[in-house]
This record gives sequence, C-alpha cells and structure tokens, in this order.
Amino acid sequence: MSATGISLDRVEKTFPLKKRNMYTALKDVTLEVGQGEFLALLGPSGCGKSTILRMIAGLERPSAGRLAVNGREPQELVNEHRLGVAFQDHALLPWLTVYQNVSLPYQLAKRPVDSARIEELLELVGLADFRDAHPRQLSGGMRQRASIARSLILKPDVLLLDEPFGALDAVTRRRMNLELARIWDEERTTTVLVTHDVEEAVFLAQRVVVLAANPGRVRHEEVLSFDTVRTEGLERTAEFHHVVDRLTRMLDAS
Amino acid sequence: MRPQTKKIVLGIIGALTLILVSEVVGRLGLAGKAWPAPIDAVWSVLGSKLSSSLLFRALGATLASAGTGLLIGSFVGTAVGFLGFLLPPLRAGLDQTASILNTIPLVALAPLLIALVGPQGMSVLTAALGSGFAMFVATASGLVAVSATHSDLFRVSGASRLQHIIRLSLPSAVPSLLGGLTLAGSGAVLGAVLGEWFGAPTGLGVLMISSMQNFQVKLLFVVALTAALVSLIAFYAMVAIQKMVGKRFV
Amino acid sequence: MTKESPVLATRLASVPNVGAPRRQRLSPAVRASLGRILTLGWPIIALLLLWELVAVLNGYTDLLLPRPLSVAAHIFNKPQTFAEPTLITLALAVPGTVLGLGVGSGLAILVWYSSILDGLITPTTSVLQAIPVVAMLPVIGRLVGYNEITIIVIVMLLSFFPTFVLVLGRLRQANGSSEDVFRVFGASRRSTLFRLLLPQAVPGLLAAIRMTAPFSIGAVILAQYLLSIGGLGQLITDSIVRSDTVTVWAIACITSVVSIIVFALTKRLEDHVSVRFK
Repeated sequence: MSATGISLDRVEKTFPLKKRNMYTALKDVTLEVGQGEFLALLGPSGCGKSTILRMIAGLERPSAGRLAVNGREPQELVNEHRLGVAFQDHALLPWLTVYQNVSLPYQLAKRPVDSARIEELLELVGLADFRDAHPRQLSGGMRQRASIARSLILKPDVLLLDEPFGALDAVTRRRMNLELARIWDEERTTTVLVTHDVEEAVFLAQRVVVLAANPGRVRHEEVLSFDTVRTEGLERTAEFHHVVDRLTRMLDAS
Repeated sequence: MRPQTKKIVLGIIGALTLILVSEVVGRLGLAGKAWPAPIDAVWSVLGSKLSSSLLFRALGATLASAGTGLLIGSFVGTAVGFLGFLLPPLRAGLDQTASILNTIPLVALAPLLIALVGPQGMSVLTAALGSGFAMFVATASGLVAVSATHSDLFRVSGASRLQHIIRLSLPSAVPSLLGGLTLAGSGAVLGAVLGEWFGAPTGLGVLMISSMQNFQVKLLFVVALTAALVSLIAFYAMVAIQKMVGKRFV
Repeated sequence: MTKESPVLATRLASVPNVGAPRRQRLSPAVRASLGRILTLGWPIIALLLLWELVAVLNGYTDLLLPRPLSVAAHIFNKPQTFAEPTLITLALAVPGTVLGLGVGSGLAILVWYSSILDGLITPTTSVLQAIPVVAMLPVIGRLVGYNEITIIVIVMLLSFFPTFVLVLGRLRQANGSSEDVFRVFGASRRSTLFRLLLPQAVPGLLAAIRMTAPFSIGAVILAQYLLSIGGLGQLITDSIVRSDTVTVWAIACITSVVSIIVFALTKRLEDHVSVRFK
C-alpha cells in the first residue's frame, strides 16, 4: 500500500434499516488512487459510489475494511484542511459574494487570505468579472465553477467531486467538462470524480472504475491512455466512442 | 388593463366598499346604537381635546408596554431557542414546553402572572410572552434549517463547532428569525392590550373596557381601530424589514 | 464492532422466542417511557417543583399561593364545581370554531370561483388578518350584547381568518399539472372542484383546526371573564372576588389541561389525515 494517494482495502459499508435489518451498500471494495491521478467512479444510481466518496471525505466511516488517504485516516486530512470537495448542489453560501465564498476555506482553516490566489483561481474558472456577485445572480454553470474554485483554493492533497455537473443541462455540462479538464491540467490534484455519465467519466479521468449495485462492488477497471490531449477533439475520435460504447454496455448489463 | 393593475384597482374598490358599507350602516343606524359611523367617530374623537388626549396617552402606554415586551420577549425567546440548540438534550423538553405554554390560555395563567409582576407589569409580561414564543420557535427551527450539503462542506473543510455555528447556523437562521419577528411584532401588541385587561392603570386595553362599560361607542370604536392599526403597522413594518434583509440569506 | 452487529441482531431477535420473564421484558419499556417523560417534560417537572418550593419556602398559605397538591385535592374533592362551567365553555367553543371553519372555507371556495370576488375580498382579508381579533372583544360585546352570541362571534372570527388563508392557499396550490390533467379530460369546473380541489384543501382546513381550536377555549374564557357571562371565565371573576385562590388555580390547571388535550387531538388528527391528501 502506497503512502500517497487513496487506498481502500476490502471496504464494506452497511446501514441499519428498520426492524434490525442491515442494508449492505458496499461490499469488498478494493481501490487505489495514485498521487496526482484523476479517477472516475462510474455506476448506476444506488451502487454506493457517493458512499465511497463520503468515506474518503471522512463523512462516513467504513463498517469493515481499511480506508486511508496518504496513509492516514481521512479525518486527519480534514482537520489539516487538505481536502477539497464540490457537490452536485453547489453549496455556495447565499449570503456571501463569489469572492467571499471562494475565500471561505481560508477562514475555516484560520489561514491568512491569499487574495492573489483567489484572483488567479477566479480567472482560471472564468469568474473574474463576477467576484462581487451573489450566488443567486449567477447561472447554474457559473455557480458550479465558483464551487470548484472554492474546492481548489487551498491546493488540497485530494479533490473530491460528487457529480458536480449533475444538475446542469447537457450543453452546459459538456462545456463545464472541457473547462474542468483545462483546470485540472493546471492544478494536477489527486481527484476522485463520482458520476453516472459515461462520456464525462471517459473524457475527464485517467482511469474509470465501473461499479455494480446491490451490493455496491467493483465490476471493472479501465485505464484510459488516449493519444489526444483532453480537449474538444477527443470526443470525436473513434477510440473515445469505442470505450464509451463498451462501458455503457457494461452499465446496461449490471 | 394589465392583470397587476386590475388586481390593485379591485383591492382598493374592495377596501373602500367595506369602509363605505360600515359608514352607511352607522349613519342609518342599521346595526343599532352600538355601531357608529367610522368617519364620524374618528372625527368627533380626534376633534374633542379630552378624548383625543385620552386616546394618545393610552396609545403611548400601550406602545411602551408592547415595545418593552417585544424587546424582552425577543431576547429571552431567542436566547432559550439558542440554548436548546447548544445543549441538544434540553431541546425536546423545551420544544414541548414552549408549545404547551403557548396553548395554555393567557386567562388561565393570569392569576399566577399577576402574583409574579403585579397588575402594572402584566401588559409588558403578556407582550413578552406573545412575542417570546414566536421568537423561540423561529430561533429553534431556524438554527437547524442548515442544508445537508452546507453541513457536509463545513465538515470536509475541517470547520470547528464554533465556526460551524457562527459562519453557517446563525446566517442560515436569519430568514426564520425575520419571519418570527413579523409574528412577534403583532403578537406583542395583542399581548399588551390583553394584559391591560387585568388591572393596568392606562392603555388602549383599559380605555376599550371603560368606554365599553360607559357606552362611549365612538371612543370604543376609535380605540379598537387604533389598536388594529398599531398591530397592522407592526406587522407590515416587520414584513418590510424581512423583504429588505431576508432576500440576501436565501 | 460492526462485524458483530448481525450476530447481535439475531441475538436480539431471538429474545421473545426464548421467553424471558415478564418483569425483565417490561422493565426496559418502563425505563424507556420514564426517559421519554424526562426528556420531554423536564421543564414542566421543574416548574411544578419550583411552584411547590416557592410556596413552602415562603410559608405561603393556600390563600396566597396554594401548593400543587392542594389544588389537585380541591379539584378531586369538588368535581361538580368545575364540571358544569367547563362544559359550558366547551359548548361555546365548538360551534364558534365550526362556524369559523365553515365560513372561512366557503369564502375561500367562492374567491377561487370568481376572480372579481378574489380581487375585491382577498387584499382586504389579508390585511385584516393581522388585526388582533381577541382584542376586539369589547367592540363585539358592545355591538352584539353581553351574551353567548358575542362569544360565538369572537370564536368564529378567530378561526375564520386562518381558515380562509390556509384553504385558499391549498386551492391555489393545485393550479398545476394535475389541474391541467383534469382540463385535458374535459372535466367541468364543478367536478374539478369536488374531485381535485376540495380534497386538496383538506390539509389546509386541518391546519386551521389545529391552529385555532386550542385557542378558542382561551378566547371563550377570556370573553366570559371580561363580560361576566357564565362558564369558567365567570367562575374566575367570582373566585377572585371571594378571594378563593385555590379555585382560581384549579381553573388555571383545568383550562391548561383541556387546551393541551385539544391541541394534542387536533395535532394528531392533522398528522394522521393530512398525509392522505398531500
């Protein structure tokens, strides 16, 4: 087991149901995410992919098995403010401006606000002109960009993305994927993306882990090594379509 | 005509009709001697130096009790709501007791309350009770109205409990607190007037009872109108504040 | 720890089959309900203790501050003193509330039916809603007379405004896809009202009952107290005059208990019935 990156070793997660029954959300999940890798967890709804993400974030604890981030408990990283997270619900605070929202992690970590870093990230996500706007004045796509800027602000060791574009329309979603690829190319943070969108997973990740449901388990791993850089052109290559078709069939079968 | 304009025009016609009908009923004496014509009543009370000074002195007393009660009640209600938030084992009991206390009729508690604060303090106390309950409910429900993802975000960002409270729970509670204030404002006015029925020396409530007993129907009518107006103004002033401040927090 | 929990679960599940002694099976239940009473009722218990403590420490006689037990004994010894006034009070609260609910719902339906009526009535009603109805007691007393009708009118007004607002709110809320479905099926306005909107309005009506019924009892007693017309309210006035403090406290306790029972019943009614219409 490497000391860097994320490792799940035979992780199991059960939830208590009514009448003393237990629901097994995840069974025997073993995963490694290397330092600086972009991994996508792909699966149908109810396969426990969000549960894996929540365990890496320290929001849930595994019922059995071992889970470590950089060789340590997730909670330790949380306490050192070294995790970044973006949810499907942008989770921006409505009473703060974009700039204040992005600088929130500095305050929570009790660190001096690095305004140059904020400006730079707002530039990177294309929100420089909206720094003083409130979330309700932004479009759905802009809110998600602000949310991603916030997740990256402290240069986290691990970036967790829980269907960050799930609530957006297809066109905006594609554009956001292009931008995320560009942003990730600059930051190169160890990233776990949870999604049920095959194209999104294949487009963004270096490796896709396909999960099956009931109980949630690893079904397939696909290492993606495209020759093309991850820009618009990639989606039109035959290779890309081939992989997407194969993974889609795999999802349909499960 | 645009639907918005039509709505406003119809609303004004409706209100004017109500005033006109009550005026006609009063002028013609259709509802007996106890129903004065509103315009005539307002005119004659405000025109008479004696009754208008009586009215304004009573109004001042009621406003003072309602205002003091509103301040005390809001403070205590908010504080108790916050206490339940900080000490979760107390919360269920506080919620239950608050809804029970709110259900118990004021008149049932009156002997106890008079024993506590005397007849003079009654109107302040009942105003405080009226507004305090609204603020307690608003605080208690507002502080837990934090969205699940916001809460997750703070946990993943390694926020301390204090940071969670100050930067998330308190701002999230603002809309609910403002909603509570709209109820607390008119609740304090009602509480003050009712409290004055239990032996206060002056106030709109006292003036209402005395003019009722002395058959001064015009004065009674105007006092009731004043109480209603104060309550309306208190309510709509708070609604205005809610609209101004509240939209930033949702 | 979690690996054991299925084992623990089976062990727990097998307990009834083993046939544990009755006493042992009962005691956790008793303990649980005691715990519930403590977590929910601690302020009430604290209040009762404080009441007792103040009375004992100051050496107050029953004339000044009767102790909880003497109040309970008083009610228990002379139930007939309280039964009739309580019944009178309830007998006035019920028709007043029912009338208010009826008139409020009826007006809400009329307003839904006619947009002109809606424009004329709704703005004024929503303004009048903020007026403290109970504070208008002297006006209505003067107008209607010092009699039971005044009480019924005030209780009616008390439940009228919330009913109108809540029922109308539910009727308007239906203005959506389900109303479109009815229109596509060619349903008449009448059958839309009966089959879609009235069931839709039931939760609003139930909420209005829960919000007004417990307070109507207090309103009746307040009116009886202020106008000296029978029931528990007049009994308060009479007892104060006779310096019969124990009776005053007994009435306070009875009224509180009755109001709380009404509150609990209406709350339960709302919780159980509303879900079916939402």
